[in-house]
Amino acid sequence: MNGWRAALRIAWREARKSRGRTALVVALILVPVAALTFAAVVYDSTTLTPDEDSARRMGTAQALVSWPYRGPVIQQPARDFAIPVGNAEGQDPSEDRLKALLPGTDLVPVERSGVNIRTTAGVGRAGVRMLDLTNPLTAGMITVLEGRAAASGTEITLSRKAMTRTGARLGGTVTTEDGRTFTVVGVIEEPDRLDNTTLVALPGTFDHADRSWLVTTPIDWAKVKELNKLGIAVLSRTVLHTPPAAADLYPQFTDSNELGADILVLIAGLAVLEMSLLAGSALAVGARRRKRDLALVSAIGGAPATSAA
Amino acid sequence: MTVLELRDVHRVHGTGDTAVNALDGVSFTVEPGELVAVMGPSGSGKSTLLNLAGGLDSPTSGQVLVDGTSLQSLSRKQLAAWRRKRIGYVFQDLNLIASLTAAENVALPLDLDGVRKSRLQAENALSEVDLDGYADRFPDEMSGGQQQRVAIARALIGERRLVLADEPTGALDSRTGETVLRLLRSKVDAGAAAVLVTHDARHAAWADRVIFLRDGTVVDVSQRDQPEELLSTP
Repeated sequence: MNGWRAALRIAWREARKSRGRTALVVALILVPVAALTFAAVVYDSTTLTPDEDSARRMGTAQALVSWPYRGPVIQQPARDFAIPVGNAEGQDPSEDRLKALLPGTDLVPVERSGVNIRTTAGVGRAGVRMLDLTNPLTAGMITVLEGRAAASGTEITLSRKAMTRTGARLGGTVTTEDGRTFTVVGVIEEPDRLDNTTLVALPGTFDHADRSWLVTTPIDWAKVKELNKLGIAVLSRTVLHTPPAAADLYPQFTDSNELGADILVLIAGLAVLEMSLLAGSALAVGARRRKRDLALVSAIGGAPATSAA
Repeated sequence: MTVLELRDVHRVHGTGDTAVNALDGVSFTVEPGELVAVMGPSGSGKSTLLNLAGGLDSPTSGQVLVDGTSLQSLSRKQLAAWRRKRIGYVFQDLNLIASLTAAENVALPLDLDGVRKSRLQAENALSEVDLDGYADRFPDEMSGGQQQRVAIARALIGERRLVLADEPTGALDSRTGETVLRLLRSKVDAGAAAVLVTHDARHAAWADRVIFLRDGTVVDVSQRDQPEELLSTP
């Protein structure tokens, strides 16, 4: 530490004397640092914690379950998308059978669809989510910004973009292309899709394209795999919090996980390389211009660490 | 105690067909109170000798001892500390760090060593080279001669007793050069030891002994009591 005071004094004087060079050096060091900081902040801001992710996808329920196929399926732990891997020879999905498979659970339906609505410019397509926003299990999936949630089959809530496209107002109406009219009772926001044209209604209001259920019993990965054999896909809060070991994953998905890790390593490596190149250049700019001073300090007795400082 | 001793020092630059014997079996000693001049044509090995004596370079074979310690036995860190405490350099020009004042330049070896009150010692050292009142001047506010005097003050600050001077008057006019050499001589007379590399026989005449180098070999040594030899080149 002995040489630091002298080294810092020289560095400070040189920095004040050569402001342009100092600015260049600072920029060369700060640019990669700022870029990585920005990337880290963006990544952190857009990466949900398991709790945040769970709230958006399944509210306060323990799992979101769908039954898209009559034969065995496979899935990734954090996705409710299932891939069939066998013949569709099982029984048809039904809410009663699902209840039997998950004893003691409540099932709250969550449906998705799409509908053509009359807009200020004619007719446009809107996404439809059908769930009971008054049910505490759905808390966090969709936010009611103004008004209230739909309470009957003739009421509806709209996203801001849907409000704009239809020209509707709270208390006003929206009409589908086929002539059904709904009273707009609220303005909603989907946390993941702020810019979507979305209508939210109670289940059964429209024909659904797909249907899931919020369930109230915890489901671990072993149970998920058991249900997969019947064609059931599960997004489980328990699994999101405690992901299974790589050895317990379906082998079809193991490679993709490793690829993701490889890409992360590659990105991190490139970031380090970029920082080294720019920061190295910054140091080289200073060292090259001050070669004589550094040699002099060395001849006087400056240790290598002092010159580096 | 002998301040500087070179024992059969060889220094080869490069390898194979391109190898150059910069120094080829050089041996000599420098005692306290002795000023030794090293003369020789360009490429004779003068600067190499000085670099080896100061631990800035290592011999291919042989030994360089300062105050009885072989520099080859020291680590890089120890060598740096050795230079801070024992060896002072004076170069031909550009001896001072432009962003430091005269006092800060002189105090630099002490600051690097973590010595407190280095400023006071630096001011005293400047006073000894007749530079009272110059402590806060930057190098570009001083003449070449004044800068060399600052360099000599720095070379001998603290416990340093060995000055290695490489053409210290090369960038000065003859009168200023003489002033600098007189100062160096007075420091040596006060107990320091110095090695002075020079091309100029008149400057070498300030020395107690002159070592003539040619092709890396000592070809002659003249004593001060042989002034006619000092003023003639071999």
